[in-house]
Amino acid sequence: MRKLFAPVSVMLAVAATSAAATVSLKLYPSEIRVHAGESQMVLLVATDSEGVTREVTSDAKWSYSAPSSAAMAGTRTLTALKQGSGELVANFEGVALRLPWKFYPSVVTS
Amino acid sequence: MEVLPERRHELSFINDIVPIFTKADCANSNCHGSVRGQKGFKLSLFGSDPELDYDAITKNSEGRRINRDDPAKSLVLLKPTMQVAHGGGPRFKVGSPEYKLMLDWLTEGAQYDAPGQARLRKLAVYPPEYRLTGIGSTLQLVAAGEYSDGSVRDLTNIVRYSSNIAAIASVTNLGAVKAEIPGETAIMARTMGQAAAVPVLVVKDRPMANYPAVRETNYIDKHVFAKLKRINVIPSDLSTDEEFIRRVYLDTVGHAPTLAEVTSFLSSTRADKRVALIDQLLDRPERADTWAMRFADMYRAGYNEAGQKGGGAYGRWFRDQVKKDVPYDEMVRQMLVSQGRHDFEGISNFYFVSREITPEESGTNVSQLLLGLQIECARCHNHPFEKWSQDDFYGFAAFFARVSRKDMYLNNHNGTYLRESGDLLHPKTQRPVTPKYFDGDTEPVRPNEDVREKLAVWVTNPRNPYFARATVNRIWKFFMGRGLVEPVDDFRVTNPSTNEPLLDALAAEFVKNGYSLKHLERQILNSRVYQLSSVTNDTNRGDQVNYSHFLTRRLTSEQILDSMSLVTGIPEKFPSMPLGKRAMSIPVLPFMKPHYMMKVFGRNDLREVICERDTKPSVAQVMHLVSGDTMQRQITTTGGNLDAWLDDSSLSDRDIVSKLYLAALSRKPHNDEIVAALEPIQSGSVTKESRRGTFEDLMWAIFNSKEFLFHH
Repeated sequence: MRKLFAPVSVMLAVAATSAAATVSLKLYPSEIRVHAGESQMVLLVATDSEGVTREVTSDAKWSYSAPSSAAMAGTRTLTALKQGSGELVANFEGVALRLPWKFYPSVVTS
Repeated sequence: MEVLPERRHELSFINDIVPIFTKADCANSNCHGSVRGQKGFKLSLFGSDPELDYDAITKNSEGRRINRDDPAKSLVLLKPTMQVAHGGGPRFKVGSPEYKLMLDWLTEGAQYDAPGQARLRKLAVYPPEYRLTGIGSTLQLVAAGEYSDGSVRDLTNIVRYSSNIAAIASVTNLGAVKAEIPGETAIMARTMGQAAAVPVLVVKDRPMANYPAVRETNYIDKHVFAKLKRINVIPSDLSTDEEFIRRVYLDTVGHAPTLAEVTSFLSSTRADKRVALIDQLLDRPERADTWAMRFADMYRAGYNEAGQKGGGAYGRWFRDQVKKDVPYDEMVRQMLVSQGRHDFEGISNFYFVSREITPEESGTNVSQLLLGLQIECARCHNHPFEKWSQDDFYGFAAFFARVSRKDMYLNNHNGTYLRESGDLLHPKTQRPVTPKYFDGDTEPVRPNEDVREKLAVWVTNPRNPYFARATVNRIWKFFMGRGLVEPVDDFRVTNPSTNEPLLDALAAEFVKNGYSLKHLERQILNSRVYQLSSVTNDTNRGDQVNYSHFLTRRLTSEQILDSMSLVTGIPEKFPSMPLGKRAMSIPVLPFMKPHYMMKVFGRNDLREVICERDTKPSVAQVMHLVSGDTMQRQITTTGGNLDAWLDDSSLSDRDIVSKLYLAALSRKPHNDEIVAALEPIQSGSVTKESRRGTFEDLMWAIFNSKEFLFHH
């Protein structure tokens, strides 16, 4: 199992001449484990070659597998619709980060 | 795929209702979460005790706070929505998510959770740290909780946010952070008795394009300079040789260098003369006195009945340990298992840091002094900001259940002894408490066993997460003037260090090198960070926490007295001490006759309940410097260095001025300073008395200058 609160991260190769280009991306949390009916916010942070960090959650393009199991509200909240597993994908400046999810069953009482 | 048990999707008092009171600020220490509650309604602080909260809401005051027949008419809803008068004002609106959640819970019967309900095990907020670049820039925090059943819940809209310094970075109720002015702060998140912090740095501009290259000497420089570069702060220049020699003497042997030592160092052309000087000073016997004084302050030597004799023995014990370079972990092990008569066994004074030797006092003191943890809040209730519970507090205190004081007719002959039996009773259950390590297991005590021995092993274990970090933080402050964590004995999630990688590195080096004080001291003194000038530049003028320049601070009374005495060559007389005894070598003063200058400069004649010096300035200090008898005696007593120089026909008046400056300030005087000093004897008739008087005036002026009285 991944360490929950560590990010999914990727380092990017950047040409030496690219001033202030994005050099790393971090996606929090590292995986989503919620019960059906619950939601999880996500956060995407970019760091450029000068070390400046910027939250780019709303700037990324988001997609996900198994659309019948999940729904994305806005650009930062994934809601679990039913039990299952899948992947949330963030695309930013041509780089994709994959965040696995596991949705657990829920029993709604009367 | 990992299989989790099905979770019933029903409202939980613990996980859904309790957080509302924290989020709405009802359960804080100024409102219903205070020790006495508010208007008869008492909640646990930040939801740390759900059972107490449940009783307060549903049972106390004859259950009048809820209305089971008409839930919407419950006081617990009417008050925060101001449908009836509420001294705390509106906390949420009718129809808000909080209102609906609470109404649903009331409608469903206002039940407490069934046994086995998943509980919040860990709260995290991310990103774990962040730099906001540009005033007005923002960040949305995300909070998540890991529960005891392995599931995770998004708590971003549930937790209560607050900023340690909202003027630097503000945070909304939903976790949106905004940069206000440059600086450093931390954003706290709290709910259900758990807390997390995100250190936030606000910088005005993007990194400088032409940030200068700064030479690094060791790992300390690497971590400090990396941080400075991140925040666009350029460190000060390297200190001059004059600044360095004075600083390093004061920090190691406790006084400014002598005239001969300054002259020798300044004239040396060796490229490694600073390294060589540090090595020499670390081998000087006076260094043990400096450390003994630090430890005497820290461990409150001479407190209360142990008095001068016990305190003196304690101070000598520290001095001997440092002289022998005994590793600090070994010193601490000896302290923890100590017993004996205070005037014979110096180390037996260890448990005398408080007026009473009780397990609770000892547990509080040991955790604070050795582990940097202030857990005393948990004595009465679960700690408001940390994970420590009342059970943790009494579990740790139980290690000291058999430590006792033996009273003798003469207080000076009292001692610390271990009783053959005895338990600490839990105040709630009145049952004996089994000793328990922080974050660890219980330690059952066998008959005739000194369980403190096992505690000593646990405290000084290299894997102990507290001991090394707390120790290096104190040592760092001795030399740098400010701890990476402040206060130095208050490590907690909501009080993050200003340079976590440096703190980790210092602790790792300390452990790796056998807890050697000398080794760590050498590393700090050789770092460029320690040797930076106290003169600031445009970028670091406002910095007080990142060590971009040396932090100036007033000298201690011992440093002033011993340095002054070396300049004048007139030994100072301390009550009950032989003439010539250095102030720094007297860890405990006779409490009936304290030296006045030491008293007004923050030295306690008996160690009070504080363990750090009072460094605040006072009128009494100023008046004593200006017109007190200490300086008068030092300046006017004949037979010292000044008379020797005046009688030396090979020395001109300019030479004597130079000697005074070098001896007192470790530098040569500027020409205008020489002219000003000699102005009174440049014209008219000069007598022996007027010539001496001129140099007395110069000494007085130098001793009263900030340059002499401050560490810089």
